[in-house]
Amino acid sequence: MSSEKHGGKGKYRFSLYIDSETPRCAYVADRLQQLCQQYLPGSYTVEVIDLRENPSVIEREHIIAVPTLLVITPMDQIHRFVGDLSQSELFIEALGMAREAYKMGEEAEKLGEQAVKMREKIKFP
Amino acid sequence: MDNNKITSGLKGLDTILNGGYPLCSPTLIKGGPGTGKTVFSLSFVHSQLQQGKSAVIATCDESPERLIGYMDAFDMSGSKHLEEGRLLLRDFRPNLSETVIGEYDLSPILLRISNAIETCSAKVLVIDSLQNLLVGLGKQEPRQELLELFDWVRDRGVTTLVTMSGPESVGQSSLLEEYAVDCVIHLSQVIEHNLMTRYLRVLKLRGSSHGSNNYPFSLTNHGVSLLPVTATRLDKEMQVTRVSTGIRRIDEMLGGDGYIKGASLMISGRAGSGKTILAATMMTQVLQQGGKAIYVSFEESESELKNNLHSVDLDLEQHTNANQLLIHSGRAIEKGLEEHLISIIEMVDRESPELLVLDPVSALMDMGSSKQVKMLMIRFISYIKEQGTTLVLTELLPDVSEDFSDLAISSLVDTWFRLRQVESNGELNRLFNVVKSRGSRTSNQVKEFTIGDNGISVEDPFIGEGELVVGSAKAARVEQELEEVKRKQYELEEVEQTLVTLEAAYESKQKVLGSEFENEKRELLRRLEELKRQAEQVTSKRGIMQELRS
Repeated sequence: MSSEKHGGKGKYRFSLYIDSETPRCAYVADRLQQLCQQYLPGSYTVEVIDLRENPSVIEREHIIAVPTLLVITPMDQIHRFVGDLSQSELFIEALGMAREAYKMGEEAEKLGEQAVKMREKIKFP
Repeated sequence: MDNNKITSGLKGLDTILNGGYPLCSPTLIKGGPGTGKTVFSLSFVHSQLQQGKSAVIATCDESPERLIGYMDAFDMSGSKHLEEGRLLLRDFRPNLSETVIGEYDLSPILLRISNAIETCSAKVLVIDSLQNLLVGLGKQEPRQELLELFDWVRDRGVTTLVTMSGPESVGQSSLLEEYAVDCVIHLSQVIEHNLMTRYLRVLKLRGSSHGSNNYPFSLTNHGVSLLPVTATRLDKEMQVTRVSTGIRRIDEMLGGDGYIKGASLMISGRAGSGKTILAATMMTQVLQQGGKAIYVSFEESESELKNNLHSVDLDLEQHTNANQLLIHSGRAIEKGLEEHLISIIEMVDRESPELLVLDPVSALMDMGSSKQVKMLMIRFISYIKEQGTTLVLTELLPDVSEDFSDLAISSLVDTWFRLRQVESNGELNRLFNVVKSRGSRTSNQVKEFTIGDNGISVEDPFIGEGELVVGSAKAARVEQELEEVKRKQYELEEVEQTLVTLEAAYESKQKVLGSEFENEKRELLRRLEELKRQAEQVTSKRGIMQELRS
């Protein structure tokens, strides 16, 4: 099910944990793909993990409900969601904030670089 | 004990539950924070591990490492069982940063628990605590689908202990209580007189009888301790071994050989009447025979007690050194009555002494309503009795009490000594009497009780002319009595002398009378003879004359 191979930096990395025996998880992966394409085109990866096939993962990630969605943002922040994305606005809002933060981070980085250059310019001889 | 029960690992609780938790069924332990839910669960897990079984703990409040730490601290060898693989901990602590974005399903919980149970083939499951399981998902109450979990453990024959705390909304928790679990135990804390006491109550136990009271319990460094209820039974077999009090005269007053072993004795008296010394004398007697004893003092520290008793030639030091004697001292106000009694019971269970002294028990009696105190004391006294331990209680009577006991427990004790102080002729003298002693021919006499360098001695008081005299007055009276006796002796001798004289006089008079009588008799006999002779002469003369006439 995984699409768009793991990208490197600058991408949102989604891990979606589902229980294949639970009807509620059946369409979550598709819905996630849709939302990502709409809001994060080209800058995301999705990995779908079935807990029935990977029982050890449940313990590692302390999962108590499905579907559980883990997102690692380009800033290496981790967001955790639970639910079938029927309240997608909450998801979008959270992601939007993450994108905003990402943009601000990029701007800050640029400003930082400028600052370094300026400092070099005004070096005393 | 029935077969559908599994031991809770706590002696007192098993009794209340008539054997233990229901086997292969879920049990709910609920109570506010700090009431001891986790310790109850850990004790249960520990007892099952001890029996070679495996257990799974799903922890929702604390990290698995801390739980193991608790078990190790409570001497439940948690890390050892963890290494052996018989104990599995699953971390269900909520992730508070989760955002809920739609409907969800709780199947992973069941999946994880069943995995763990299968991994170590556990027969025991603990979930601590249920309400925190879903906190991360914004739920304060367990969802209905969690109830499936209970059906599932029932099907698998896994005995499950679930804890729950926090604010209870009526709807969900009553559903859980009424439908899902077979046994509900409620733990609570009550603060009275600024002292906290924990209570346990069984709200429900399907298909079994159970104790229904509020039972006090305490959390100690050995885990949970309940004041046992077995003790309220009256089917105790009577023991008839007798033990000397160490004072011959008191033994005599109890019928000759002392008190009955395992009895409960009470010594009542005002301050300074010698209660502690009497109790310590009795204890020393047991210690000298090689027995063990525990002395619980609410008034004196260990060293004070030793010093004070040393002055009357009672050496406790050698016995504490020989681990025969445990002196425990503490102020009564340190903890609630229940906790005091529980900690004493713990000591008794650990040491199984022959004799236990509580000095004074009245310090404990002020700690609650008298009815409540009496109920607890009944349980306590009968528990101690059941252990075969002789219980010596001292009762401090207030100075205004006129030496009457105001403890409601005097009917509970087997033997009751009373020490009194009487003031006369500027002296304060001690009196001793046995108020009652079950199963003994007791002396009804009041004796004089003195405390000297060599300890206690009991003497007969002066009894005469309908009153009782002790002390220096007694000595004076004894002197007086001696005088009196001497005088009477003298009088007696006098009378005897007179009697002898009288007899002698009588005898001599008798002699005189006898000789007079003899003389008269002789005279009369002589005259009789003479008259006879004269008559013969007359007769013979008449014969001659007749012959002459014819």
